[in-house]
Amino acid sequence: MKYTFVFAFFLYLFPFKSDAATVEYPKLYFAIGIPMVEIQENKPEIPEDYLGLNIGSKLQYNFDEENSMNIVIDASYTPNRRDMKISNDGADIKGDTSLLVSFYALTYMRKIAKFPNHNLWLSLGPAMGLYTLDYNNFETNDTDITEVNRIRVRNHGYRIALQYMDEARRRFIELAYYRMTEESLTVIDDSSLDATSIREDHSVDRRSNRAIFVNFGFRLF
Amino acid sequence: MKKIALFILFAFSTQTQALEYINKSHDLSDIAVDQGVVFLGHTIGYLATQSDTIREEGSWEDYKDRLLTFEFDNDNTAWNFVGHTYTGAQVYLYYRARGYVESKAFFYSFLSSLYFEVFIENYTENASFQDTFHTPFFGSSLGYVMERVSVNLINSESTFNYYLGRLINPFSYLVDSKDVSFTPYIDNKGYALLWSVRI
Repeated sequence: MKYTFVFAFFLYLFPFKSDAATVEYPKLYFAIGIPMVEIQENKPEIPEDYLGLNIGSKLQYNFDEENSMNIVIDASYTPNRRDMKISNDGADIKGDTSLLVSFYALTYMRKIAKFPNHNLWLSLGPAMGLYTLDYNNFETNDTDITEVNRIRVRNHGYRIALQYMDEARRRFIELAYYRMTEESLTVIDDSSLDATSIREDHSVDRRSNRAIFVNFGFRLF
Repeated sequence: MKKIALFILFAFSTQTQALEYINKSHDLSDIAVDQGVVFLGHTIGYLATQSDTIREEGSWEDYKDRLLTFEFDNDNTAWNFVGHTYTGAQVYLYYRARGYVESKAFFYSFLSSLYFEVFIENYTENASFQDTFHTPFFGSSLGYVMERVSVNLINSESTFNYYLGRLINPFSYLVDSKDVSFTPYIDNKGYALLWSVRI
């Protein structure tokens, strides 16, 4: 993670080498959208599962008119996912839970089609991040986890997105897809403000998760 | 008593002209001073709010081991998404008030957030990956909105709106800083910071 971060950081530093008038600064975009997150094959099924909000932020450096590099954050929250079942090391948990997803991606973006006043862009790059479950109740619980615990699972994978953006690159509509693989599971005690880690399990089964975000974004500066 | 009088003076002060953000150019020493001010503010804030954690978990030995090793922290959603976003917004607004164009204000907010994570908070825990990105990214987005809202409020005819705007964006006082002065006052009974606002 250290090296990904350093790479992203220096990528961002690049345009600040000079204050010459020709240098284009990276652009900061803000996006809101609808999340559809599938965790360990738990697809959103009932309408309540779709009642979530995605908040996105994107820093975009334009190499030229057709190529860009982005640092992207997608953070979505669904207050109540019903009957969410997850497994780890043979132990199952099932119940109603909130679902928080925060994914971070470094993507390369290229223009792939032109339309009147708009362009279609394709972006692709590595991603990492977390999903966090905070169970409200349990239908099945083979573990020692309780309602005051939070389950946080780290993932890595990739992000691919199609962006329909205006010519001036001020607004866009985006369909983003994440394919993530689980790395480690942490159980956190939320009974105090310390958010103490009870245990961390690196032997988590390498399960796959998917997320689709439909975002509407606009440039701030 | 003096402090109360000064607060009243502050509370009843009115603007002398419309508030307007003006972008300025900065040399290296300006940037170093502003980064230093934010770093100092972060340090004081950290010492003031995390004294128990510092006492119980702080260690110079671990500091060296943790340096530049980023981890996902365990903090709850409210703290990671609301607390850090608000802090980042105020840092962004500080740089904006000092005349940095939006992109540079964002960049220096990013650096300030990075310094906080790597050099300050590292004393008690690993630098947080989420915080390093959430603070400037979401913070600058919120700061961008807060700047515009506060300028509209401050420039409105309503006194209530004026003070609300100043409350939302206290660093707006630095924008028209010719109307604000700070003077330290010390005597044998104590000390005070004289905060005067031109009416």
